[in-house]
Amino acid sequence: MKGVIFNLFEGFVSEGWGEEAYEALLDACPLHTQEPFVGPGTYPDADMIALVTKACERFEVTAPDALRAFGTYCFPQLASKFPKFVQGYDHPKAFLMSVHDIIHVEVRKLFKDAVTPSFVYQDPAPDRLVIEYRSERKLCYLMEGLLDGVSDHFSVAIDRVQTQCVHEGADTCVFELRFAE
Amino acid sequence: MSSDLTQRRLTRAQKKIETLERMIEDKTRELFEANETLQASNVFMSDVLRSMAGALVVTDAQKNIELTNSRLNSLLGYAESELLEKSVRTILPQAGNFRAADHDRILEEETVCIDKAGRKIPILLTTSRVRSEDVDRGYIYVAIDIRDRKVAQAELRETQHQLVVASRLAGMAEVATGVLHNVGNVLNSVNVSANIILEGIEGSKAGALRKLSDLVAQHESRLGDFFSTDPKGKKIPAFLKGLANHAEHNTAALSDETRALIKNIDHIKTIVASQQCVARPLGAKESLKLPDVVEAALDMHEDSLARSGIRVDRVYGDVPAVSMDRHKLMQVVINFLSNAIQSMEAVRGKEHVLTIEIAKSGSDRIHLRVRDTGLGIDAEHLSKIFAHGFTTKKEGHGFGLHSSANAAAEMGGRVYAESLGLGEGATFTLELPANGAQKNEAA
Ligand code: HEM
Repeated sequence: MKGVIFNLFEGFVSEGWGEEAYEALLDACPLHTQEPFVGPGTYPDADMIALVTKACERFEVTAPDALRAFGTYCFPQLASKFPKFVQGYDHPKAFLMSVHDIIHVEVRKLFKDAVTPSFVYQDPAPDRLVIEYRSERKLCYLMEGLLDGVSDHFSVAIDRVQTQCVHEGADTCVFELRFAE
Repeated sequence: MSSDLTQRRLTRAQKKIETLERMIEDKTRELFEANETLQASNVFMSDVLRSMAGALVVTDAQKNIELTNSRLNSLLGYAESELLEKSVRTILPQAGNFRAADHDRILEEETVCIDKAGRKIPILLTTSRVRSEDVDRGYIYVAIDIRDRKVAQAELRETQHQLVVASRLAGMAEVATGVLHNVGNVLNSVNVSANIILEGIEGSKAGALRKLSDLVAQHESRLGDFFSTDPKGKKIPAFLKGLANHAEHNTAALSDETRALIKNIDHIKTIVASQQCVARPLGAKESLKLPDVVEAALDMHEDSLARSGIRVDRVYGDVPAVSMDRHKLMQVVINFLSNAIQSMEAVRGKEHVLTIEIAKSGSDRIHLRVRDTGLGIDAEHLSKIFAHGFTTKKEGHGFGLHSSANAAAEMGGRVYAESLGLGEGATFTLELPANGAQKNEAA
């Protein structure tokens, strides 16, 4: 996982529970990585899992809730770091449809060794969108939070139903979205 | 704790900076190397452009020049970048345009480009389009200077023309040789006749008559006595009778010989006349009956045929008239006949037959076959016989068959030879299109 995500996580914890809490979290986790995380660096996924797991334990939140909240925190940060990817879209549907074929493609060029998930889209009606999410990392809760972030960013309510989930034995996670306007 | 925390975070920030510095250094090195590779490939690209065989022009979609290579600049006498942003029409006024439908086509044409001094330079031009997302983004023109090629083409045409003239002259020379040969033959007879006549005149006993007349004049006053009593006078009647006999005989012989002489002179006239009809303006087509042409050619060879005792068999089928150049047709026929006759003259003590066959073959071809009973042709020579300069004859008439082959081709036909081998005689065939369509020959 890229350092940029670790740093976002540091910001997320520091803002929610204080800088000391983050330092304590670092002390409590036996991380593979000794040096500090920097944005362009790539670090083991296990370190992120360890940090998230320890945070849930300390702050008494469930992992799904933590990841959802982290996703909601991440999106405006990513959007302000990479304004070009968001500009030019006035509706979340068109924007979401650009994530797989444009944004994550560019992300893999910008960040060496980045691994992004795969999205398959279905477009059944103008106000609807179906996204099938597939990733080794199984971060569908993060995905939910990111979708909430997208809804906030565009100020368009997105009603979402997850019709299947890898955590319930399915191959992929499927999100059925309905846009308010 | 708070200062501890600050210290920790400072240390971490410092470490981050160090790590990031290292990363920046690595990245810079990477970029530097990438830049070098890029520059090397740039140098290579410009070397490629410079070394290209063609002169290169690249334009934008509006056909304004964006790039030229040094070969183009030196071809047209422009300084580097002098042509940039000018319309391509400045240098390629006549280059063709693409139609919307010509998707991946490349235009190839012979056209001209205009140099700085306004001179036209002949070029071979290929034009291709720079397409992206179904729109013309620009055009690529590659021109090859073909001035040298043009000069070479002109030289080649001149050489071909000279060859055509040479082969015509060779053909005419052969006709002339044929005429001279035949006239020469007849002149032999003329000479013989003239000698016979001279001898006849010299042996005409005119001297004896003179003596007799003198004798009679001496005895003019008493001729009766002279005839009846004089020993000389008594012989005169018998002498006169002999003289009369001789004169009668001599006159008959002389008039025979003179008739032969007149006939031979007529024959020479015929030969010369047929030569004149051969020597019409070149290339003029006229409607010709093959048998007439063959008969005219036979006339020219009449004496040789007669002296060598060659029988002529004519097998003339019903064929339409052909529209041909009489000169060319005559050249081939005379060439066939003289070859046949010479070949038969070379085999003595045999009854020779010259067979001339004219026939239609299929709906669109006419054959003229000349078959002889002469030397025949060795199988290994058959295919080479029409090649330039090939001959098996001592006098070397190979050029005749070669120019016959050329003449036949120019008439839209062909010639070929057949023979069962040495001693078996040979058949030469001229095959012509029935419609007489004549190929356009190079001027
Ligand atoms: C400005 C827009 C975005 C940027 C710059 C961005 C960038 C990234 C980056 C850098 C990663 C980490 C890859 C790695 O560490 O190997 C990532 C992962 C991810 N992104 Fe995005 N992203 C954007 C928008 C979105 C959106 C809108 C969604 C979903 C609706 C999304 C879903 C995800 C998920 C689920 C992951 C986690 C990796 C995984 O599941 O395997 N991203 N993205």
